[in-house]
Amino acid sequence: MVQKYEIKDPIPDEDPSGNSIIKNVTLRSGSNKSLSHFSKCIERTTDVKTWGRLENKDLLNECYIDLTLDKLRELDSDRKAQESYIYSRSKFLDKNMINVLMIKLRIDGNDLLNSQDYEYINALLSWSRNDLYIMPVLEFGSGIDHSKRLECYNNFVIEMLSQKSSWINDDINIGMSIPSFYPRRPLADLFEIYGDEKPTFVAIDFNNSRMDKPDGVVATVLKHFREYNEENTFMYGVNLKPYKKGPGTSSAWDIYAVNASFNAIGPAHSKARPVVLPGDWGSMGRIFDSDEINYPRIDESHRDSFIYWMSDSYHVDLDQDFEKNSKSLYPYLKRYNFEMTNNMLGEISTAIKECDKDYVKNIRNHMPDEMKSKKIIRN
Amino acid sequence: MNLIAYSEEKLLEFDSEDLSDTDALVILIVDSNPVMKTRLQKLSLLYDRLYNKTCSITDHNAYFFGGYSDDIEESAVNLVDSGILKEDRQGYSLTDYGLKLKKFIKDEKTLDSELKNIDNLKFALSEVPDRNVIGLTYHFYEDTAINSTIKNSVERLNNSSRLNDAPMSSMSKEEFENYLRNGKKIVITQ
Repeated sequence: MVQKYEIKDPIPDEDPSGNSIIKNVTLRSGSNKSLSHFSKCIERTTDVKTWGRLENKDLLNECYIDLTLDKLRELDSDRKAQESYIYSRSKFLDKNMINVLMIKLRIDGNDLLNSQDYEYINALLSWSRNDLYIMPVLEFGSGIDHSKRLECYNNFVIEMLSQKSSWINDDINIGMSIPSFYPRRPLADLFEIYGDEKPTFVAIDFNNSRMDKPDGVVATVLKHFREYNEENTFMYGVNLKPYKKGPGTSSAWDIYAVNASFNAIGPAHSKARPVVLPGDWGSMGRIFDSDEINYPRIDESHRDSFIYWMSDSYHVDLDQDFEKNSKSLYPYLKRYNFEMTNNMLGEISTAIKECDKDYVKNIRNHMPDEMKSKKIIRN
Repeated sequence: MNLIAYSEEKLLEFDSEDLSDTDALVILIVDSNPVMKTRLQKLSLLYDRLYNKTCSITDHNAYFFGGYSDDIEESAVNLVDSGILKEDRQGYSLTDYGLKLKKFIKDEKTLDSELKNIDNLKFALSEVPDRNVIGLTYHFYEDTAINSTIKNSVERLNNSSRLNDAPMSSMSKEEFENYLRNGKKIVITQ
């Protein structure tokens, strides 16, 4: 059930260069759920085995609901249909985790939202297992002129806020969302629309991109909170791409997000692409290397780490010869990366809490080179 | 709460401020006629090499089909989602709003002077088909072709192509780059 959230115990660590503010906070939902460390969100491919191996098992459980307006209308207010739709797109591994229904609604053509649609969205958000009321993001198709999009989204937020009290208790606070198309400058207007709600939980949609413009929207949000001396904030990066594609090794752009005050990092939800079956270890996908804090292609030493992990976690013995393994290994690679990135994020939290300056300095040193000159602190 | 409306001029201002150099490069390369993804990748690679950027804004690497930049791909996808570009089977093209934004950034934005020169590069290659643009990048920037899975077929294409009515090997890289820099047309014949 949607509950009031509270954010407390901020421990910030700011780099004098202005390109990194790592801030650990505790997020509480209702009376019995809390999260007090950085985390990569649970996604639908995460399983109990991988989650069970984590030292910090409290994570943000992302239920990413990406749907078209037609689909929303098809679900109608049919609770059963809504529930099975949500279940098919998420994973519920533990009742103590904070569940976040993050809705992306796709609107195309000239079809605009009607009053019934707002009811459907609110019905989804007030679903029994959802813990936080986060404003959905909208994505517009080519049928909607660019110049109308900002206005449409602002109007959507205004309408949602006006209906809020019909669906949830007045004392329940709302989480704000920022769609990927939203420019930096009118963000002040968006904050104004939320008015007295004064959201301190902010979900920023990266739409399957890397956070390569931290000095834009992110810096503006941080500046806003700074102006109001609000330290108890929780930043959630939605649909954040973890690494750069290409032949070489990529920096870990997902881990880097903690430098921009992000507390929870949502997995990337890539658009459907033609499936190309990997022919060898090197083309299977990127593996997270926690020593170097990057994502290389799988070479012999990473292959052996992965084989060991598979044996240890799943009791499956893989062959070093890629072609001799009949299993599709990509889902396991995603779980491996989930475990390793969460372990690293847990370590960063511990370092911040224990003021381990050397560890934090090392994290900053591993920021992608392109980002080291960008400032996220605006005066 | 009063509805907040923004004039188009204001939106152009907002959007131009938020563009990264890579976004701006994509907008400047794409026009109202569709540009294939491959051509976009290779033109941005040529731009990068031509101006010998000390800090690359496109970060091209040698990939399975030659020089490829995830930054360029990501920018293009985001610009489509933002309604600045549109994508169809023929490739990317600017929307009406995208065309206005392009004009706006050319007129108003303090663009890197080299970025303004992209028109020369585009004009120089305007009559070169996409596959030959690929061929030119393989020929003049061999390092981008080292991981290519189509290297042999591109080599065959290059061997059968004439560049400004002479064998490709007779033009030096410096000459080729001068053509691009100065907007002198390059003609490929088979």
